[in-house]
Amino acid sequence: MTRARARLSVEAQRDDASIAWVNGLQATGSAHEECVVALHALLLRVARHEVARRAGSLQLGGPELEDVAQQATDDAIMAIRRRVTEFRGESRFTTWAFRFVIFEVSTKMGRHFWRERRAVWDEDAWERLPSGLADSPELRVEQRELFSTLRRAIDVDLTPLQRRVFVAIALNEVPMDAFARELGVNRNALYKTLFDARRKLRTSLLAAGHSRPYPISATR
Amino acid sequence: MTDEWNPNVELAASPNDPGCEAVFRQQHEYVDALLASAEPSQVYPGVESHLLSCPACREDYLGLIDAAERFAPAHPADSFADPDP
Repeated sequence: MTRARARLSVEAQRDDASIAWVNGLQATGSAHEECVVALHALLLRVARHEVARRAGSLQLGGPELEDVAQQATDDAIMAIRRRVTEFRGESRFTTWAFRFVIFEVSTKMGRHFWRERRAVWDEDAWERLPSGLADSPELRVEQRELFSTLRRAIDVDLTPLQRRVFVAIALNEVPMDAFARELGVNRNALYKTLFDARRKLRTSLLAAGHSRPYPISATR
Repeated sequence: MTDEWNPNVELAASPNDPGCEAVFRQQHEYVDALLASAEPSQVYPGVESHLLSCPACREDYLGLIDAAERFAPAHPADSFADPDP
């Protein structure tokens, strides 16, 4: 453990509120129940705020947002009660707990994505990669060659799954949790496929003489 | 696809990137360190790399920072009734 990390850990362990949360969740009887009720109320406020923060792109209504917030809170409480012994005091307890409800909100909002977007799913988005967007003639030529190579690499060098994932996430901007649900995998597995696709495309670009940083327009 | 498509972002793949599950296990430490002005990128370089290239974890991270600033510190003895549910 580095000195900075050790200092942060010690500071977090001094946090009286964190100690009270952990003691309450590990208590029995009414002390435990009161702590769970308080944590549920707190996480529900976090969940409501988070669904509102993310709601703009999904066109969800109030009752649907409230349903997502309630379900995310219930599932987060279950996960926290199951995993509270894993809390080591490296952060405030509330920050440790909030990530569970935020992750649940993200996952559950992914379920709603396809209801609005399936009709506009664009299989051929990669064929319209931008070209000639840079400012100077030299950069425009370089960028046109870069995207031409990239289009060819997406078509030829990626596996069918890598191509499908890259097109969805990197080109069509499909939320990862929505697409992970579509494929029946978890976020980590989907990201691994995206990561491998990106690495393969970078290798293809490098072999064609294109190294990072790639040219982009300064005015966009 | 938008006009903002940037190959430097969309093709980011750092060898230091530990993946989503590993970052989830450290995200709360990273956020509290950031809020304590403790330069978490030096302590958690893999987390920083991942957040730059994973849109889902980056969105969770933004939500976690927002929540940690807005709703903490909180004690179990506090009342958390939502004033505007």
